[in-house]
Amino acid sequence: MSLLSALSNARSSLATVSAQTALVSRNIGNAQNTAATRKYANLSAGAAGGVQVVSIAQSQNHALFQSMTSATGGLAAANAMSDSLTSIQNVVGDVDATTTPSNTLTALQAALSQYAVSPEDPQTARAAIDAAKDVVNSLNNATKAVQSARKDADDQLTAAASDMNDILSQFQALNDGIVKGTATGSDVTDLVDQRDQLVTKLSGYVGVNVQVRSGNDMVLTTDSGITLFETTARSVEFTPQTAYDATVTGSPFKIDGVSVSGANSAMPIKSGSVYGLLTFRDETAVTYQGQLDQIASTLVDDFSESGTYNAQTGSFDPATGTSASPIQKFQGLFNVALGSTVGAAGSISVDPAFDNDPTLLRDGQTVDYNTTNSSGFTGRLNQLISAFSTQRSFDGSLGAGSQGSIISYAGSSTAWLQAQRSAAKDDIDYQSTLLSGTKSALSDKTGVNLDEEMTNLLDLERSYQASSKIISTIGNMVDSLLNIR
Amino acid sequence: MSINGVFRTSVSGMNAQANRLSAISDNIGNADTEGYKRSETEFSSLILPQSGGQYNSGSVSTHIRKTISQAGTTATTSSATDVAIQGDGFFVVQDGSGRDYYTRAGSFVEKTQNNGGTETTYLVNSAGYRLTGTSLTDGSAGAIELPVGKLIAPTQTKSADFSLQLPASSEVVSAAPTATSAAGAAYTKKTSVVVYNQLGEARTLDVYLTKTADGDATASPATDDTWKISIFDQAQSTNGGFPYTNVATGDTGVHEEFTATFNPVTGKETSGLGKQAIALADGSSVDVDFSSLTQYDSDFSAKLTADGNPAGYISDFEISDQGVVNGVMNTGNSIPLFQLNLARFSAPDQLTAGVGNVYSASLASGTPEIGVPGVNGFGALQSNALEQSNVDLSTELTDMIQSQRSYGANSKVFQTGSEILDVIINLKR
Repeated sequence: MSLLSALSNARSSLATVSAQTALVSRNIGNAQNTAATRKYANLSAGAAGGVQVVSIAQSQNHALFQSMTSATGGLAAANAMSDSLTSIQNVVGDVDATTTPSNTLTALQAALSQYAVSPEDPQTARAAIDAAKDVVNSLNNATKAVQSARKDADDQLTAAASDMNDILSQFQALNDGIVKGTATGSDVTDLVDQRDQLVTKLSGYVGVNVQVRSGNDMVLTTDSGITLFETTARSVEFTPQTAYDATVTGSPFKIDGVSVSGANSAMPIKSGSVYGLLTFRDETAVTYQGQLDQIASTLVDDFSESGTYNAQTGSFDPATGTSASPIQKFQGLFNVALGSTVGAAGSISVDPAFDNDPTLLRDGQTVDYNTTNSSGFTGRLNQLISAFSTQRSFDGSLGAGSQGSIISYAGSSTAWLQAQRSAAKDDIDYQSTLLSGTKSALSDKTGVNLDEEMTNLLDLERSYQASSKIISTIGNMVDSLLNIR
Repeated sequence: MSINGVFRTSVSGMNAQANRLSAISDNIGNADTEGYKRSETEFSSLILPQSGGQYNSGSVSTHIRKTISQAGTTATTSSATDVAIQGDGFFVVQDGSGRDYYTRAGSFVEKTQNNGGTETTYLVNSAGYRLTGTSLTDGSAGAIELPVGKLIAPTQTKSADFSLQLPASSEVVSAAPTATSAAGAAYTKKTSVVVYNQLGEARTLDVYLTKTADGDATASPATDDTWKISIFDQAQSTNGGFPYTNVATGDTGVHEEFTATFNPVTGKETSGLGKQAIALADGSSVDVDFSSLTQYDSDFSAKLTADGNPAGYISDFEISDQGVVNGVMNTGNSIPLFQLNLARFSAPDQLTAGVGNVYSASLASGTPEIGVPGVNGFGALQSNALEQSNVDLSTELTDMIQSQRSYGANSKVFQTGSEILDVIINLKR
């Protein structure tokens, strides 16, 4: 060890300290950036003394990062579901609103009762027809709201697919840069931060699982194992439907050729806004539409007219049928083909003939109930009123019960929608708490701590002073040598 | 004998010290030259035969010895092509005419030279000597010519590793899909991996995993869970899915199917699938390692890796500890290009010094022994580092003072002799 090598060691220490100080200033600059990780230098002693920066590393916590991305996906799914349900709820109204199918049905029943009290009064007849129009509007508007919410979901899925493709191609550029930088030993920590940010962004669309391969190469799969990125970006494909009604089935959302949702999907995803939108579009909305259609088709059935053909009068009598002339059923007040369920709520309307002549409600349109043509006839009206409270069975798979009167079914349908929405809201609360928890845990582990950085800075300052002291001491020693005469 | 001998001896002493001062000035001048080896001055006495009571003063002769075998300290730099040897050995460099020289100065930089119209990029040190090595692509030795701006041939995927966890609870699908299956064919799971063919084209292989039979451990004989692993080339897919058939040519393309069986009790493979060759559409084949297949009651997970790289350009170079010059491509792949060789001598201090910190072999140094860094006693390489000179300024300065005093003493002897001669001359007035 000679004087000069002591000098070069002190110099290497100065260089290292200045490199570390640069890192500290970078860390402090990013103290408020939640996505930034703490960078630090790995030092190593040289073979003949001295010190050198071997690499720049960053604090990472893979497990916490993974739970952060999965919480992001969960929150995005809950948000997408809640937003779509809220848009329907705004049109349908909550249980107290007069516009809900159940409340308009109750109003129709009341109007019919009023009509039955004074069957000769054209005013009450008109009021009953108006109440029926309210029911029709309520069902039509709810259907429109459900189908336009499905269309909105489709539009959002289209945007999600193009965003995901963009993110994946950016990811590819970053990943290539990181792999290359890692091979040459350059500082890739900022690129890694950016790549992690893209993963977080992507996990808002679909749940993402991350694998890191040799050379800092990353592989992304969905939470169900579909490849999103492996060396190259896989394509995300989605073709929206041009229009929605109750009969249209949404087109599949495909990643790497695999459909991510639906009964036929082998690998259904479990979180992310794409999951929320697909679940809403293909399950929740379809179920609610089914409930509306059940109400509509039951209503059509209730108001239908049935009778047997009377050859003498040339009209239909409300008589019990015989084998020679069986009972035939005809559309009544509501204009939808009998027996059809899918889309009934969307196409239901009040027959214009009833609108022109409200007394048809009392007397019957095709079937002649009021054979005596009495203005005080109430038999048909009472029959219609009692139908509202008749117990009947509904499709239990739709979630609003399988037994009950049409009014109670309509009520439980509105309540079901409300419950779905409040469940989505609760989910948002839970997921956002979880997300902020994991975010702060991740930030505690990998983020920049100002106290720590300032302490480091003090240490570095002392180290720099000590090294400069060594240099000035060696300088003095060489000086004293030169001064020998 | 005679007083004249005193003059001869003191002059030779002064000459010797002048030589020593020259060497010291060289050493101090090159104190900051990378790879410089200090010269040591050694003296030997030349004593004349003595007769009777007379003392015949002799003289002193000077020998210069280079301390080539002493390593200098290592200082770190920021260039990846700066290398220092940690231990024995010399870099083998060449001048423009192809003659070999040896050096410890490792500050190599890229330098492009135009030789009759063709541009060649060499790694040269500060004195312009070109670094030599053995090409790892064609085995030729000579000055390293870096493929800057030249297209690097692609490397075909030779091997791949599939680590799959297949969920035990999966439903059985009656039959695995084939290349001609209709769109929407049933399968259990799917994943994909990128491989490269001889043209460097990235081909995505779609890997479909289909559980075709549930095992029964209680049956006699016990049966196994069966999974089919079907591999297709995505380029032959129809809208990213089945059927995998080129409709125009009727070519069914790549379709490989392997069967993996699992013990329903342990979830482990009953007979290892091991390594299997997959034939690609272009006629090449890839060895796939299926050694890590499991079927536990856990979610599906797939870890697929494959080697190979597409054609591309080299954007950066680095030198590894073992002396391999790697080109880093714009795609991030690292391609080994050259192997640096080190030379070793039986008597390195006897090498002949040349201009630019280089040495050439001499009879006394012996012939060079060529070897790979870090192997058989050759020193390992450290990149981002340079070997400093082995000059110690304090030693040189003290030597200089010593030399000055010695010179003064010799001149005093000369002066005394001269005064004595004066006395003798003045005997006669």
